[in-house]
Amino acid sequence: MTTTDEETRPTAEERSAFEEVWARPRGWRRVLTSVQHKSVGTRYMVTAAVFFFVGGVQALFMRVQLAQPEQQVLSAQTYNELFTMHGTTMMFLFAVPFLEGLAAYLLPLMLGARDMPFARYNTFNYWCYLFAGILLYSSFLVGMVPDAGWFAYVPLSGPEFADKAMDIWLFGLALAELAAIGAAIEMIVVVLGMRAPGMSLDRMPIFAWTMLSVAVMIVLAFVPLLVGSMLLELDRNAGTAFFDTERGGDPLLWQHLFWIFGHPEVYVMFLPGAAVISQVLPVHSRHRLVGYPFVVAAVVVTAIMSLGLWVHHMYTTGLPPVTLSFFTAASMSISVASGVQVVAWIATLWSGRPRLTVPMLFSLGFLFTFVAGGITGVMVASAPFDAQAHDTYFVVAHFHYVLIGGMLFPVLAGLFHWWPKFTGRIPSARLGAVSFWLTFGGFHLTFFPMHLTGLSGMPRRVFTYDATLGVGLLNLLSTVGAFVLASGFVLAAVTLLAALRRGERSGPNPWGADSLEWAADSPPSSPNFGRIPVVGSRAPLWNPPPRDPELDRMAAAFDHAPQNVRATPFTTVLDARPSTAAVQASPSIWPVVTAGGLALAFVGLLVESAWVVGASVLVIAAGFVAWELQNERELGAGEAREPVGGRYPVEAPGPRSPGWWGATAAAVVLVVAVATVAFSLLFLEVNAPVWPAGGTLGRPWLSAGTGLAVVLAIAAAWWGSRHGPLDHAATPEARGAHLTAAATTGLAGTAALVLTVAQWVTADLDHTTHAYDSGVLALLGTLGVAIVLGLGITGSALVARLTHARDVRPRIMLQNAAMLWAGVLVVWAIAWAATDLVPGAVV
Amino acid sequence: MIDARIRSVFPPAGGVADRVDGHLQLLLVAGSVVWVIVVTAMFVAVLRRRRAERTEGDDGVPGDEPGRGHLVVAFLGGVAPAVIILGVMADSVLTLRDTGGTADASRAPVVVEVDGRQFWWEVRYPEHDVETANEIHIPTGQDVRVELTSDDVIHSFWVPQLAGKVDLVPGRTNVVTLHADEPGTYWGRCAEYCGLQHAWMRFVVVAHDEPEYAGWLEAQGRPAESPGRTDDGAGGPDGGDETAGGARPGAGPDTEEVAAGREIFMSSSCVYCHTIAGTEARGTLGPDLTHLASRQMIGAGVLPNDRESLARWITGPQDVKPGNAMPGTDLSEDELDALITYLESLE
Repeated sequence: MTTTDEETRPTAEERSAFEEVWARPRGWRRVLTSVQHKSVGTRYMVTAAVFFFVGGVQALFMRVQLAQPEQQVLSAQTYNELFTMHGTTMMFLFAVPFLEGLAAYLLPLMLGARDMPFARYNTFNYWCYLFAGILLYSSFLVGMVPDAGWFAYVPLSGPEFADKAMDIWLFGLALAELAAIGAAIEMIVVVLGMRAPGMSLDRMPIFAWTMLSVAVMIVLAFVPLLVGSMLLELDRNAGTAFFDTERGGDPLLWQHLFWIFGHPEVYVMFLPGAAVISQVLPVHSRHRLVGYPFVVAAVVVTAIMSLGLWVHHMYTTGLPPVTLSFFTAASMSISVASGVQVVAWIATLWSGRPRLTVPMLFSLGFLFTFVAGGITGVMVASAPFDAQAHDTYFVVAHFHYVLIGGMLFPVLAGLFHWWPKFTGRIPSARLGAVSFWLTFGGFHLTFFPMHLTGLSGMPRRVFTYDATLGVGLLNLLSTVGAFVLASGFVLAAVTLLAALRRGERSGPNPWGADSLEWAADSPPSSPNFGRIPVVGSRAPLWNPPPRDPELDRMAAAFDHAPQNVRATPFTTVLDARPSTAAVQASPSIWPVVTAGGLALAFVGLLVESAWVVGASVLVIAAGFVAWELQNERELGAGEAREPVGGRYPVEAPGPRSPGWWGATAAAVVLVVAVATVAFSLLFLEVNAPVWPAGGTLGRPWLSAGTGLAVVLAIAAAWWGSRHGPLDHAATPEARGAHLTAAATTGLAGTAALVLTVAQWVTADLDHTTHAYDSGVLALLGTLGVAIVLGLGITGSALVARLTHARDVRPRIMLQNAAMLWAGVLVVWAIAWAATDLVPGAVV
Repeated sequence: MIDARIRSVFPPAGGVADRVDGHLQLLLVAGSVVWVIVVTAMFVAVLRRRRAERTEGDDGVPGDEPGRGHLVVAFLGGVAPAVIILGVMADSVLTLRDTGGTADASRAPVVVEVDGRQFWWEVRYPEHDVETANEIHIPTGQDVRVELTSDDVIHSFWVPQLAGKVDLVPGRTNVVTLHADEPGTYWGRCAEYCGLQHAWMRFVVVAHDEPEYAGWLEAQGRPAESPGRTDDGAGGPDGGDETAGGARPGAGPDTEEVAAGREIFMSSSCVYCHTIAGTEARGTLGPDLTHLASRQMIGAGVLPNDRESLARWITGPQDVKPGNAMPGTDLSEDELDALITYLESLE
């Protein structure tokens, strides 16, 4: 990093002021108020690791039960509970959160940023996830453990066949999904806007490309599951009919919603695993990743295609051959994208000089295993093959090859690779190698025989099998292997933990790696980088920094600066040219309070106590208001508003601040949610034998009024956001315009809410009589939720206006409000199309 | 006999399973070959002997080599797998064309209706007014159209040697075509998790030669051997050699114990859930017992059909198969003996 002659290095006082503003809270405050991405990332990973061991112990119990035919170690009930919780835990409480934690820790470091874009929201998501896990596991305490499988097919999970355990499962799931969607928004914004100056998209690490793709998948795929789980909850407790065949519903709707989520979910777990390999394997091969553009293309193509393959989980539900052929072809095609990545890794090994370090061992173990899982994946993608293999141990073998081979081995490679960065210590290579061979050998001993067990006719999810099936020996091998595998995981954990005290000190870059996280201290300081690095190539630490005065100016401006507020450079999307300064949140208690309130609301619903629900609503509302006030107070502090280095404004309207991106992402989430409900309604209409004739909502004036009110809200917010100078001055006219705009938007939004409620109240529909009525209620309900969120952000804009002397912040908040209201308008349009336009046109 | 049953997908025994078998083996072989090639390439890449330290760029890293490296990735990683995948895909679609979807009714004159229940199978032959449970009898050498429905939760119908799985979904009727080349007993089971006793939701498919099948149908269509005294006065009160339906050759007399057992059955709660054709037992919640004694297994495959197992099942069904719908019945030893003797007479 060259220093230009005229530039002055920060003084000692400036450095200490900078460190002061980034100081970590101490004592109990640290536990409850820390929002820094490294604490949040660490918490995610530690919590997920705990759940991983819990889920692993459940697996061992199941393996003991299955070691011999017709054993009675576990009752059928316990076994069914265990496989339900094993799948739920590994998917929702381990794999996805662990990867989100890894991303929360690594992305800012890799990209050269100081924190995640919305650090408090990031923390809020972590607490939601933790409370989701506690809620799910409280089922063991109250003796109502979910037992309908991690896929929870209705009717088995519906009101008729499942008890309250299912409600615990659904609420826990909803909370975990909420956290995952929030984490996805964080990842999108950090990758798009907070890269080091000069890190254009084509210089981004594969890990960043991948997490961006994965985050988009999460937004598009997890929202449908969140909606689906709410629909099921309504069926269970509010008498709606979405999945009830007697009243126009269809149990297959759940399968569609579940697998629209469930298939991308597989890639949400595998792609980050592959990305870890793309980071780790080149470093330990001492060679750049061969075919970088092809790997990026493969990742993006996989992400897009994964959204269109879900039906291959439903081959046996009785679909027409043309559908089966289409999804067979599509599902097989996606493997080509994985083939590209595999060859890129092998070509990198071939071209480089590989070192057999522990991360390399796990990377090779990944290749060996994942390729096998991918090939069995092509097999089960074939509908006729799947009809035999589906729901047998062949599939169990297949997806454990993909998930343990494709996600867990990379995670272990990554942990051994980044452990020196996380802790400053290098874990023992000898113990690490032993743990690799134990996990690798144990894994194949456990899961290879299952291919044969499955083809021999043993289905999944059975608590026992009879001796005449002839799979006793295969099952015994699997059980022995499971214990070897478990010992390998325990040894890996011990090796890593032991390194905390005894490991050799590593220095910043023990592996001679190429990406930016290795330029930070080990472990990184609170702001990660005192001076922000500039980037001129894909391997910034292997190549000299670029000679680009514009980039250097930004680096110099942010050199141990600013010192009055936490901030990091915000750069343009494509080229990462200098743009503005993004403010980064300081510690706050409100994320844990609001997340706690949310968890309390679910508890209140579970125990059916209006008092608890009411109290939780108060806690949530108070938490968000206090949170917003704290945000504005910090930003309002006069000097915080001065441009950094006199050049880079602290926030600016348009896509030059994280908030704009956040509001856009929130609008997209709302649209995906309402689109899911609309899809559900259309699916039911197409599949139901009888559907209400002339089934329009029939409230055209109320509906049009709602739409007009939302348009007015957009227009008012937008108009307000155009007023006032950008140079951090304050003008009375702008103040008046902002107040008028916020008030008008708020009133228009309130009118829209009232009209939406009026549509339902006057429509003479009863959601308990037919799925159509239920669907209309869900559409209007989604619209109502969207409007309430719009009112919330409008309120924030008002708070910003009232707390800030200057005009920029209120402008930005009004603009964000306009963005979100635009999302509400799309929600309204889709709801209207589904309730009036389509039924009207069809009839 | 039961032990000799093959339950694997190999070898297939006819129809859909036969057609899929070739595809299955193609995939297994092609997949294994590809895997061996990739893993060999990986080992060679790691272990190959390298020339002395390569000349490196000033940054200590070999250059990007965009030309050669990109070609390798594009062709070996993209084009080569695409070619293999296209081949496999074509075979899959052809297989699907030959086997997939709803069977043509004209090609499948025999129709069986199967209704999945938690946790057993109701089997009906609508054209012959025959109802049974957990056993599907089919003629060999013909396509049999099986119509699948469910009134409770989702189940899945799987006879590994005859055809792939097809789900039983509430509100839908799905169809699977069975075709057995040889007479024999083929093992089947529920393959979709359906609740507590999913593991014990099994059935058998018994394939007969055409004449034997006709005989079976005819026998099942009649009320059982000792259907009991009915209101229209048919059949002797006790010890009679014949019943109104006509006794099958070799049928034993309706002994006193059988009559006593029948009395116990008809006067207890059994009748609320079970049907025995020709008697006042008309319940529909549980399996039809008209020809119970002709079946190989009881409890959807959980126990063999013998006296000892029947006794265990009747007195403690919740111990044998917890969570099934049948409550236990409290009977003295003599009553139980009589009841079982009656049930054993229902051939």
